Amino acid sequence: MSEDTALLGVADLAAAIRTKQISALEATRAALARSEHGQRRLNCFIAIEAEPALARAAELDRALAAGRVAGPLHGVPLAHKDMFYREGRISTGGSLIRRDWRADRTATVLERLDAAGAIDLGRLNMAEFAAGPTGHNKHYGDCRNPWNPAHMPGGSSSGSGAAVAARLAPAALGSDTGGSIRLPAAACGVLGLKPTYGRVSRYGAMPRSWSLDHVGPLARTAKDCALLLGAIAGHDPKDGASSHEPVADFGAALGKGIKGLRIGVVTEADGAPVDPEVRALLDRSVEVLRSLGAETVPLRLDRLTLWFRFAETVIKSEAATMHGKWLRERPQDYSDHVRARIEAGLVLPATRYLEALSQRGPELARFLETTMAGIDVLHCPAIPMPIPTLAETDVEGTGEAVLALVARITQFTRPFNFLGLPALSIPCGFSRNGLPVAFQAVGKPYAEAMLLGVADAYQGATEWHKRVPGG
Amino acid sequence: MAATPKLVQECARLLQGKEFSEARAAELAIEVERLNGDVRRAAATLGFDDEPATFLAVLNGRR
Repeated sequence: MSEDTALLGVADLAAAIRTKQISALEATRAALARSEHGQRRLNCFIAIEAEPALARAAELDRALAAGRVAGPLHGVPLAHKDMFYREGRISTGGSLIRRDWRADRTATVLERLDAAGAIDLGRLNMAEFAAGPTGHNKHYGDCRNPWNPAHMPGGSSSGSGAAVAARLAPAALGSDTGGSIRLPAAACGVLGLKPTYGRVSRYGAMPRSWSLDHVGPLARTAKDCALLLGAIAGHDPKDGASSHEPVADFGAALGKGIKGLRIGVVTEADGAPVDPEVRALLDRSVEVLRSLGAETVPLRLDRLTLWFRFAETVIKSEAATMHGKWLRERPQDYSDHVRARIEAGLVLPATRYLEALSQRGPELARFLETTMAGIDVLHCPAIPMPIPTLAETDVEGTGEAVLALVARITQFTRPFNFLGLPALSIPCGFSRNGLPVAFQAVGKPYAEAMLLGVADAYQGATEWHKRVPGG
Repeated sequence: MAATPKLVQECARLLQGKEFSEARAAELAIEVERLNGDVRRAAATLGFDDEPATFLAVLNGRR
């Protein structure tokens, strides 16, 4: 398999395997070779699992030779954040506490990817217990940004963003409770889709906050995102919050353009400053969307901070509930900053938690009836500043300034976990430090296909997604 | 301040079986006061019939 083939995306690789231009085994060997090489520079895997990957690839090649195609991802090697359980296998959740823990069940999303014919290359690095937006991990080593290893890759799905951007895997799954798919996607220059709450099953995915957890794909093109989402979406009786909404054709809007689409552009948001350099690139992305026929309307978000606080209250309360036993019995096994992010939940009144949850319905209804009235898609920043370095964002044992910087990273992402709306991070250029910048497209409930249509149209008019780190 | 370090320490010890140092309790008191205050003030807009499950009804009912 040539180096060029190793750089293929999901759809192209699946087509090449299906038409027997290459075998699943060749594709997997090439991805493993790139992963082992990339790992030394980026530390984006917690474990590369070559043996089961190669065995599975051989099995899929035999099936194809016998005329059986497992599904649309037949033979495509992927890798996922180390928090999707596979029965009998280790799933660390990026933590010391679960370093040797073997899962007692298999995540529905992994079962669905298996059924679609995908292969697992290994388990990707992540923030400890999915708590942290930077990519730091004290237990397994920090994950690094492929555009510049001194910079943060974003988190908590740090390995997912870095591996997909560095072409170690054509796509990956992440989870998103406050931005954990969209932030690493933005920092590493790939697409990251947080679907509507309930659209994708959370069963067998390590929880961070039951009410705000979302599972979704990171990939380089809208078509690849649509393929992955199509494979994992849909009702799951094992997840009590799973939606009964029928699975849409997530590729339906691809290639159709965005003429006439009404895009609300967030030009002001309460308490959330946007760096001028990032603002200039966001403005340019709006010009591109307008040149493609979209109508744009300037908007102000004035409840962003409040939604952020509600989400913070919910996350801390739920995390303190699930971590309570370990916080009491083995606090020393947490990183200081992860423990610190959870502890307030131990002493917040239950009534505040339930008030925050009770606000979700009225806040979402108001948002849809006012801000989103007459608007199809909202355009806003993903990360409102140029991507900082790992050193600048190391919260382990550091002061208020670093904590404030880290809090700013999630200012525009966490509110949409509270509202449960679909949101897609779309790369739109590079800042002077050579790191990617992205905008977020936020849709109405279950409008994932429309968001992917926006990304597809934007990618058709720009070349950002074709740039390769170090290439 | 309603959430004092002493209150945080007592609540954690008596209700959660968790000990916090004075310094840590002081940090937590600031955090708890901020969240408790913001959410409590906002709760004035909630009605008697508002409840958490309304969220899913809105999410699934509005496209």
